[in-house]
Amino acid sequence: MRIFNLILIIFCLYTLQVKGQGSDTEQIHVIGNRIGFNQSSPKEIKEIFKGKETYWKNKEQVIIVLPSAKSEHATIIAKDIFAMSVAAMQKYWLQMVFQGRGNPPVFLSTDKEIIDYVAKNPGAIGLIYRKEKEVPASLLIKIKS
Amino acid sequence: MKIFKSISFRIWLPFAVSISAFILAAGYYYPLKQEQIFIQNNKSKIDELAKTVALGVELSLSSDNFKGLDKTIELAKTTSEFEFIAIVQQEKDLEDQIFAINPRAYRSEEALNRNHKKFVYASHPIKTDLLQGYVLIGISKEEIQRKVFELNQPVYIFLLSLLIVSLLAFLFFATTISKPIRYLTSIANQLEKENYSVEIIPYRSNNEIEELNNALFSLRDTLQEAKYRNLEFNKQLEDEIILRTKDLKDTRDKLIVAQRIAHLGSFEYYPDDNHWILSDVLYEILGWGHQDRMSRSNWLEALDPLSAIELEKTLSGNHSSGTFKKDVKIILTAQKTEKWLSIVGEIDKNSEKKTFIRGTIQDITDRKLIENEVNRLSLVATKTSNCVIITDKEKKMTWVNDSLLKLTGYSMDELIGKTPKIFQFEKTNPLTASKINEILALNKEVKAEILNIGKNGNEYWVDINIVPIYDQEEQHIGFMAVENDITQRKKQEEEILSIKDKLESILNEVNDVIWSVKVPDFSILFFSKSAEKLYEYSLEELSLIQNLRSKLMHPDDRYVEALISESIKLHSFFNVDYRIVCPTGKIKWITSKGKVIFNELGVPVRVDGIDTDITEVKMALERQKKFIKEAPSAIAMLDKDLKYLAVSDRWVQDYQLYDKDVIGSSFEDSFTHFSGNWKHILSDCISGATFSHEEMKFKRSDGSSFWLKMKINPWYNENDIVGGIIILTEDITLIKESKEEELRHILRLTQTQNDRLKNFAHIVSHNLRSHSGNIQSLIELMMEDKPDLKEYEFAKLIQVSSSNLRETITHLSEVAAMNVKENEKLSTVDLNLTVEKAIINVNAIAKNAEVKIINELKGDEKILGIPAYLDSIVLNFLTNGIKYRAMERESFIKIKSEKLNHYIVLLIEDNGLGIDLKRHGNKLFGMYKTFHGNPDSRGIGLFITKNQVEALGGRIDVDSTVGIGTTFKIFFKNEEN
Repeated sequence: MRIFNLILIIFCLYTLQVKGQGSDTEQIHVIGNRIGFNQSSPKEIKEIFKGKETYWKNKEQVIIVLPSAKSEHATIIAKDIFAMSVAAMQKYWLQMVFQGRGNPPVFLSTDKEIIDYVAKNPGAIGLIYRKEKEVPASLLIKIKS
Repeated sequence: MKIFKSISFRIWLPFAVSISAFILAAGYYYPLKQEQIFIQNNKSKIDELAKTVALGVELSLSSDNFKGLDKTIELAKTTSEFEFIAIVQQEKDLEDQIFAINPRAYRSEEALNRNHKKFVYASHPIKTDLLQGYVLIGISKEEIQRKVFELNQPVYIFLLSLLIVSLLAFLFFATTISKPIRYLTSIANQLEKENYSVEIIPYRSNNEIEELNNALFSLRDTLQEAKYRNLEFNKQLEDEIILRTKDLKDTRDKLIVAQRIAHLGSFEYYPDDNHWILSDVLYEILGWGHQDRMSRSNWLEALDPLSAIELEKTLSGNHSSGTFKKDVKIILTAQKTEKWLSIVGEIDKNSEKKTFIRGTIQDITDRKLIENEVNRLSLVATKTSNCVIITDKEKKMTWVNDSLLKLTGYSMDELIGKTPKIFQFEKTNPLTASKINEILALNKEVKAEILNIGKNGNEYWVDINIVPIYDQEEQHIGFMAVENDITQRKKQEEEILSIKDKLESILNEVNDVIWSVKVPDFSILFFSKSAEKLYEYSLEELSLIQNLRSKLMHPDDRYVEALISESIKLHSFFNVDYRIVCPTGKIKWITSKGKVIFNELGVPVRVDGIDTDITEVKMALERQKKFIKEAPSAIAMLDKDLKYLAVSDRWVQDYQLYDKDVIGSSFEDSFTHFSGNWKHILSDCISGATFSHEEMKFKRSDGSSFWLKMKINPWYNENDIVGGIIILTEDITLIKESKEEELRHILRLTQTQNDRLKNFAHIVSHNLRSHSGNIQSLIELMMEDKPDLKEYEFAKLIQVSSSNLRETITHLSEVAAMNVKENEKLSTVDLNLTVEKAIINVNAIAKNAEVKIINELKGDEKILGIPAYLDSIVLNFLTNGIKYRAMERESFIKIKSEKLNHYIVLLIEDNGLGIDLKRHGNKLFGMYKTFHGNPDSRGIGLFITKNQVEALGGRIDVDSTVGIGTTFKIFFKNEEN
C-alpha cells in the first residue's frame, strides 16, 4: 500500500510537470505562413523564436514576428516563450542581430497586426494571445503537448 | 683582400655607401609616413562608424526595429575592415563589460584591454533606457601596415633597382678614374725597384695625370743618373770605410787601453738565460786569467754570496726609466779583497725581442777610498768645534764651517767674499793683526791669539793658525785658518793672574811654607816666601837645591823619608813631623803635609804641600814631658793611640814598669788585665770626657795590690784638639785601710743597735698584740654579758678603737717582720706562677665584682725575690684593682711585663676610678692614707707593698688618671743579672 501511494505521488508530480510545460504555450497561439509544418513542440517553438533557424526547410527565410513593448500581450509572450521580460527580450534580439546570428525580428504593436503580417509574409512566424478570436486556422500552428 | 686595397674600390666605396644609405632611408621613412597618414584617415572613418552604429543601436531599441542595425553592421564590415565591433555595457558600480561583439568569437577581454600599439580605437556612447554604454570599434595596425606595404611594393622595387644601377655605375666610374693612377703607380713601383728601363707611355687623359706622367719620366732619368753617381759614391765610401775602420780599430784599442786605465768594463746580461758577456777589462778587474774565463760560466761565482745577491738585486731591480746606476761593494772570494764597483746599465730588447741589460762596470775602489777620506775630512772640518776658514789668495773667504758661523753669528752668505777683517774692531790688537798679514804675505804659516768681534757685538778670543794652501801644481790658491775659541781660557787666565797675585800676597803673609814640587825628581815648582824664614835660605838658593828635604832633614830623622814614600805609595798623601838643620845650625821641628796631584791619565805630576814650624810646640811638649816625669804623683801622658808620651817616675814605680821602655809603648801593653770596660772609659776620655774614681783596687804584676784614686783628663794640642789623655793616680791604700777599720767599727755598733731595736720591736709588738687582744676579748665578753652596752655609744667607740689598735699592731708587726727578713736571701721566683696563683685566689671576688683579669705575661719572667712577699704584692694590687673598679663601665685588670736594664717590670693596669696623683701622689704609699672613701680601706696596703718591693731591691712607679684608670709598674731584680 505504501509503495502504491509513492508511485501515485510520483506520477502526479510528473503529470504536473508536463502540465507546467504545457501551460507555457497554452495562452499563446503560434501562427505561421508557409513555414513547412503546422505543428510543433513547445521546445521547438521556443528555439525558433530564439533565432535558431534562419531558413525553413522549404528554403523560405525565417521571419520572426513578435509583439513590441507597446503590445498588451508582450509581457505574457516574453515570459512564456523567452522566460524573460520584454526589455530583456529586446536586448536579446539586439545582441543576436549585432552579432549577426539571426534575422532581425519584426516587432508589431497588436495581435491583429501580427496576424496580418504573418498572413502576408511567407516564412513569417508569430506569437499572439490565445484569446484573440480572429485567427485564421491556416495560420495556426498546433503545439504538441 | 687585394681588391679592397685597390684604388678603384677606394674611390667607389664612399659613393656606394652614400647612395645605399640614401635609398635605404627613403625606403624606410616613406612607408612609415604613409602608415601614419592611413591611421589618421582610418581613425576619422571609424569614429564616424562608431557614431553610426551607436545611433543604429539607439534607434533599434527605441523603435523596435533591428533591420536598420543589421544593415549598419553589414556596411561597417565591408567598408572599414574592423578587427571587432562591440557594444560595451556600463552599469553603475560595475566594470564595463561586453554586451555584444562582432565577430562573436572575438575575445571580450582583448577588446576591453585597449592595446594602442596593435589597434586603432574609436568609440561612441549609447544612452537608452534599456542599455547604457558605448560602441567600441578596433582596427588592427598590422592590417594597415600590410595595406601600406601592398601599396608601396612598386616603390620598393623601384628603389632597389635604382640602388643596383647606381652601385654599378659608380663602380664603372671608379674603375675608369683609377686606371691611370694604377698605371702610374706601377711605373713608380718599377722605379722604386730601380728598374729604370721601364717604359713610360705618355698618358693623355687629363692635365694632372699628364703632369704626373711627365714627372715620372724625368724622375726615371734622374734616378738613373743618381744610380751611377751612387755607385761612384759607394766606392769612395768603401775606401773611406776601410780608412775609418782602421782608425776605429786604433780608437778601439785606445778605448780598451783607456778602459783598462779607468778600470771600466762593459757587459751584457740576459736575465732569462742568466748569461753574461763580459769585456776583457772586466775580467781584469775581477783578477781572472784566461783559464778562469774558460772554466767559469758565471762571474758572480767569484764574489762572496752576499755580494752576488746585492749585485743580482741591482740588476733585477725595477728600473722604470730603463736605466740605472748604482755603486756596489763586493768581496772577491779568492783574493779575499773588497772592491767598489759602479754599475751603469740600461734595459733593452734585441732583435729577437729578448730582454737584456747592457752597461758598464767600473772599479771605483780607489775613488771610494778617496771619497771616504774626503767625507771624513769634510766631516771633521764641518763638525769640529774649531772654526775653519778657507780664503782665496786675496784672503777673501770662500768657505767657513758651522762652528765659525755659530761663534760669529754671521751667515755663510754674509761672509763669503769678505776678508777676516770683518771680525776685527777697535779692541783688536793692531800689532797682532799687522804681524799676521806680514807673515801671510810671505806665504808662511802663522799662529797668534787675537781678539775678534761677532755680528751681535760678542767679543771673543781665538787662537788662530793660518796656513797657505796650494793646488796640485803647487800654485798658491789661498789660505786655511783654524781658529780655536779661547775666550773662556783668556778669562780664566785673567782670573788666575788676579788670584795668583792675591794668593801670593796671602801666602807671603802666612808663616807656613806652601810648596809644590815636580814628580818624580821633586824639583821645585813653587815655594812661598815664608820658606826663606823657615829654611833660612833665600828663594833663589832654594830653587837651586836638589832634593831639599833630604838635604835639610836631621840625620836622626832620616827614617821619615821612607815613611813619606810609603805613605805616598799607599795613600797619595803624607803627614809627618821631623827636624831640619838650618844653615845656621839651628834645629827646627816641622810638620810636613803633602798630597800627590795626578793628571787626567792618572799619572802623578807633582806634589803640593805645606810645612809648618812646630818647633815651639815641640819644645812645649818636651817641657811638659819633663814636668810630668819629675812630678811626685803617678802621672802618665798618652797620645790618642794610648801610647805613652810621658810618665812620671812615680808611675813607673807604682806600676812596676822598670823593665819596660815606656815612652812610645802602648798603655794597653802595660796593663793587659784591664777589662773591656776600661777601654770604653779611655775611649770616652780621648773623646773629651773626664773620669774619676775615688777608690779602686789595683793588682800589680807581682800579685800585690793597692788602693788608688784615679782621675783621667784629656789634654789638648795647640789647635785645641784632644791630643791624648793624662792619667793621674794616687795610692790611697793606707787611707783606705784606716777608713775600713773605722767602718768596721761603725758597723759593729750599728749591728748591735739593730739587734737591740729588733728585740725591742719584737717585744713591743708581741706584748702590745697580746694586750690589745686581751682588751678586745674583754670588750666582747662585756658586750655579751651586757647586751645593753651595744647601744651605748662610748662602748661602740671603745670596741672600734680596740679593733683598730689590734689592726695597727698587726700591721706594725708585719712591717717589723719585713725589716727582719731584709737579710733573708733572694731566690729565683717565677713571676707568672705567682700571678696565676694570686688570680685564682681573687677569682671569686673578681667574678662577683664582674672584673675581668687578663694575664699577658710571657711565662719567662724570672725575678729575684722572696716568694711570700711576691704573693702579698700581687694579691694586694689585684684586690685594689677589684675594690676600686669603676661601676659605670666593664672593668678589667691587665697584667704584663717588660724588661728594662737589670729589672723585670711588672705592669698592672686597670680601668678603675683612678687616683688624683697631683693631690695624693706624694702620700700614695704613706701609712693610713686613703683616697676614695671606701669604708674597707685602711690605707696601709700600699705602704706595706712598697716596703716589700723595696726590701726586694725594687721600686714602684705609678701612672693614673681619675676616671680612666691606674697602671702600677713594679720593678723587680731580673734573675739574669
